[in-house]
Amino acid sequence: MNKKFLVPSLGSLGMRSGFCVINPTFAKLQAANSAALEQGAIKLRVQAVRSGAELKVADLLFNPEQSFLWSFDDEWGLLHEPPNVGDDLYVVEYVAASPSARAQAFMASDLEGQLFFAAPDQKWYATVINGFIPERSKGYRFAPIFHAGHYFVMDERFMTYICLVNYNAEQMGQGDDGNVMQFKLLTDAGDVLGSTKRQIRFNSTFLISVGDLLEEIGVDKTSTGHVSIHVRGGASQYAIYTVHRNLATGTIGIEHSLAPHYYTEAVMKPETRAVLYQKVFGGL
Amino acid sequence: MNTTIGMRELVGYSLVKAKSKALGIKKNIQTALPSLFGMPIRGSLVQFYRNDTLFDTVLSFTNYLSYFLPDEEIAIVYSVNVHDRHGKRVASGARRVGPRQTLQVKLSEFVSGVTDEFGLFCVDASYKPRYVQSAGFLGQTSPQFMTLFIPRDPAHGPQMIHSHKHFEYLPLLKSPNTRRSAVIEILDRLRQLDLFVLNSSPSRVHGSIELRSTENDELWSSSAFEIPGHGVTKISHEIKPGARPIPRAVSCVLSLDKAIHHRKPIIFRTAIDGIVTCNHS
Repeated sequence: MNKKFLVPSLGSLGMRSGFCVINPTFAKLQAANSAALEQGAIKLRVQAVRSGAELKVADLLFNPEQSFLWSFDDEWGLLHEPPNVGDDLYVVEYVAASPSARAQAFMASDLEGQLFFAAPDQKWYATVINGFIPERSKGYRFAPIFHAGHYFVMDERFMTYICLVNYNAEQMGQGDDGNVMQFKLLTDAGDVLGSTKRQIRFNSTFLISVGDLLEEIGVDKTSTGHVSIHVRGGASQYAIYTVHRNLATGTIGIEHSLAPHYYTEAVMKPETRAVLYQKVFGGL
Repeated sequence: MNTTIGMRELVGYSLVKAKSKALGIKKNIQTALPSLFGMPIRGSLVQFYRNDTLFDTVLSFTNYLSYFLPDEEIAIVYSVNVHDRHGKRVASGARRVGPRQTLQVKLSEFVSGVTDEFGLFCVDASYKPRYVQSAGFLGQTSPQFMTLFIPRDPAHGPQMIHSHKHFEYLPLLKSPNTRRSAVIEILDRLRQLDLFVLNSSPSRVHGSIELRSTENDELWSSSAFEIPGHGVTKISHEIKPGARPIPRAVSCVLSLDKAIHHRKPIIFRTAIDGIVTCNHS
């Protein structure tokens, strides 16, 4: 099974994207029970996706001297393309030169990658580590997703953004279709402020600020205090990030969400999963 | 490479396995007898705090049962214990988070007595066993909180780290281990790296952090340390031209003499223009 590392674009915040992955051809990084892959056995492919369709593909080669491969978006063949409008998605995957069992075993293992978001002048960066996701086969039935954000920062200095990365290989280049996602906003006291729905285009980065969501439901962001947001819907592969931003300087902090099994064992058994989904997604 | 495993290390490794098994047994007992032993909730979870001139620590809690069980009115009690960098427990407190509610509060307001500039804290959640009929199908759940580092300097952005590592109560025997983080740091864009290593166990831990060039794996820096039980140590690197050439980027290799659960140092990096960002390694 191919695994992908999803690199969102924060182009609408003026940030550049980058990533770092381990080099499987570097001997010292190998796990104790597996040998390094020989030089040239594997490479890295970066697929740049814009407006839901493939824009460019770049292959990056591993140097066996180096323990990691890190790269920013100026190395992905995009220099002569129109500027990123903000919904770009960069899909990173290891590609084996030949179908060797060792390469396949490596690509099937638990893989992690590091995301970088740098200022345009590259003088500072924010970073976060996250896992690769498995690419689902054709016809796979995706479950809806649920995200509960309660850690937003919104005042005169800061704003928080929800970043939803929607990946669905089967839908690549198939038009403007996507998933409908419901955003329900609540006060700290648990009172519902309102809800709104947005379409999240397949194979794109969707970024929205808490302030914009409040505006969309007609609530004055200067008088609400903290809010929490329940996001429901989807049926696709999602990577979810929270981006905190300093409004004056543009500096950010970023963190990823955790998979649902961290929060309840109910998702791990079909009978309890069905009960959970009925309760969480009922009325959607 | 020849590896010699001594009897103490072997016993230590066995104890780590036994502790993992004990956590599973505890969960099974709680699942079977919640009225006696409480609902099965993962814990205690550990995280880092700093309360200094650069950042203040804010905790965000939510009532996660409200979105798993929207028709139930179940309150969650979150309790927090705070330790200073030397491992001494200095403060504790608890707050109720009602149905559908969220609580965002400074750590120093959640509990009083946080006087050290950094250290670790642990979080537990509980709710009443009488809800076992409606909530039992969830199995083991986990406290849901986030740690926010709110900058005091007007230039930085808020930083945030999730938690899923355990605060440990049982002492550990020796079980040497090494972990190479998948995180690198791009040194030619930084002027300082601050690494905070948490000791989630009650046992004193000895170890080292190596920073190795990603270009050729050459050692750039090695720092040995000793951390008291439930303590935190800070390792700082000023990145300025000197006798040693500075690699473009480094990876972090953490070696410890005990297999503590939290083995991901918290990194605060200061960029060449002074901006500070943070994540776990």
